[in-house]
Amino acid sequence: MSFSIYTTTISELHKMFVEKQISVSDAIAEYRKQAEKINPEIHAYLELFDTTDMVVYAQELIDTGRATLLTGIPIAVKDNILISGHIASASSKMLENHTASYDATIIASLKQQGVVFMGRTNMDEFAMGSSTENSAYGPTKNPLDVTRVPGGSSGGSAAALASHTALLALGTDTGGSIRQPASFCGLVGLMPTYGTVSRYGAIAMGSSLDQIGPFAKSVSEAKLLWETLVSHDAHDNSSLPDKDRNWLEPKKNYTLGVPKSFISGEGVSESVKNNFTEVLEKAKQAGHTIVEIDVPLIEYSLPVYYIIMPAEVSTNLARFDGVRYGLRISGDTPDHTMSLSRGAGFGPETKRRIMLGTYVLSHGYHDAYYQKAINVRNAIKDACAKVFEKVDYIITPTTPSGAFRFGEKSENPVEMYLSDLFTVPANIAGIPALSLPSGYDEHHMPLGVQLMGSRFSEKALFDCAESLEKVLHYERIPTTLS
Amino acid sequence: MELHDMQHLAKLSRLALSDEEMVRMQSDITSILGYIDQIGKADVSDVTATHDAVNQVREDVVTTKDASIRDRIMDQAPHAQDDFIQVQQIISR
Repeated sequence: MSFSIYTTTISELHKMFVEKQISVSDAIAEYRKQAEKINPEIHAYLELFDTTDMVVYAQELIDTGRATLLTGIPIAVKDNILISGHIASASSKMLENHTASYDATIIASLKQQGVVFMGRTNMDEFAMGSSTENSAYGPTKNPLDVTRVPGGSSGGSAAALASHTALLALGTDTGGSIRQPASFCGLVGLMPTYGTVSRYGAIAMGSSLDQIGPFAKSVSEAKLLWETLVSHDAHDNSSLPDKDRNWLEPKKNYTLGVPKSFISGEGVSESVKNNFTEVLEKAKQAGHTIVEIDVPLIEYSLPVYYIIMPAEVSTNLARFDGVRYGLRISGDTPDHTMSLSRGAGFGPETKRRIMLGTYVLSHGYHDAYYQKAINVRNAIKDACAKVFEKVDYIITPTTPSGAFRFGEKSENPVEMYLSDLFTVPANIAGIPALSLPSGYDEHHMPLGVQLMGSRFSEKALFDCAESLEKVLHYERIPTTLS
Repeated sequence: MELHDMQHLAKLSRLALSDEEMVRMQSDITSILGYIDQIGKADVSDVTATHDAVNQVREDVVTTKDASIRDRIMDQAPHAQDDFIQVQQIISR
């Protein structure tokens, strides 16, 4: 077995490390070389890190028999997750010079295991978008076709992994920001159960929706990273105590529910529909049972999301006042300074969502929009809980189409929002959802299939996804830059 | 949404927008509201679900023992002097 950035898996590389077939330094140098080669074109990374100290530490863990499976493994980190001493800009001009003053909890635990952070990855500004076209530093391109978007908002993380510059990547998911780019780049992505992964040190967007999660090239590797991410953290007030986490155990076969009316609406591409039909056929062959289900009100998830999320954005981003940190443009009064700083520091989509959030929370509109959205959200949560009494997982395509071209949706916000149609319900309900590669569309771009489960169903979810992975035989095509 | 509504909203949002941005914003917000207005049709009259988020509180005590974090946070303030973040005068003499 010889080392290759394209094919070597995490467990294979771990074995090579332990058996002294390759040093951490030599392996990381290969990924770094690839990153330097692809980044001028792909723009997956905003910055590549000096990995010297991390490499030395990882090698020391290996040499002293203290290595975990993740020791010495390269990971790409989204630019909204804090790594002490490094810039964390959330791809915004507002935070261009913002240096993280502490480690996010998940970063600290990965550091301890000697995981090697390759760099910080590009994203839509403050994680608002579905294509990375909203980055203040220019878009990321899809490594499988550079005329197309990698998805978003964690598009840089997905592109970094899909172009083989790392073996894992971290993203955040508020309405699909891990699963949609995973689908567009042919990767596995997981949005965990709300409250199970610490968000301490992640730059907040919509706090009742945000989750951190893994990207990987395979289900088992996504699981490996997930296992490190899930633990209680006293620093995060939404983090659930360990005793309240009742993980569901894997089963032999699963019942998968298809919300037929929800996924057969207009706007879903023919190739997605055809691919999904094939997926269901193969799932049956794998021994799973397919049933049609109805999830009342689920079709309102996206409008609910575009009320609750902007409301939370407008409050979360109120912290950017030109006083404590971030960009400052001085004006005559504190209010004037704040308005000038925010006017100059935020991009168009961020401004739109702040305005929208301010509107739906304002006097006279609060009940019609915000309160109504909360009520519908609660009803959707209940409807999902009821469905999970009958089925193990809800299965849908991850996205209504494969990766689209640059500029195709960026002029029309609602059009862009609709690309999150199938991913948003899981965030609304606070349930875990995983996307795995399921084939290709008419442009030879990857497609994904999504499994949504009940709260704390991740272990079984990985098991079910692995059984699908086996029958789907997704073949990773070489990137144009390989 | 009228232009003066947009100006009021921008003021509440503490966002200085150019005239051009304001016009674009007006058309974008109008189209987004057109989309989310469908929420009005969702019938939840017989839904009794309650999942209100619960506030988790903790004692208001200093838990970070590492004083260097404070220094690093202070380094991020655009205007600071000694151990203080400088702010503009709020009350006029």
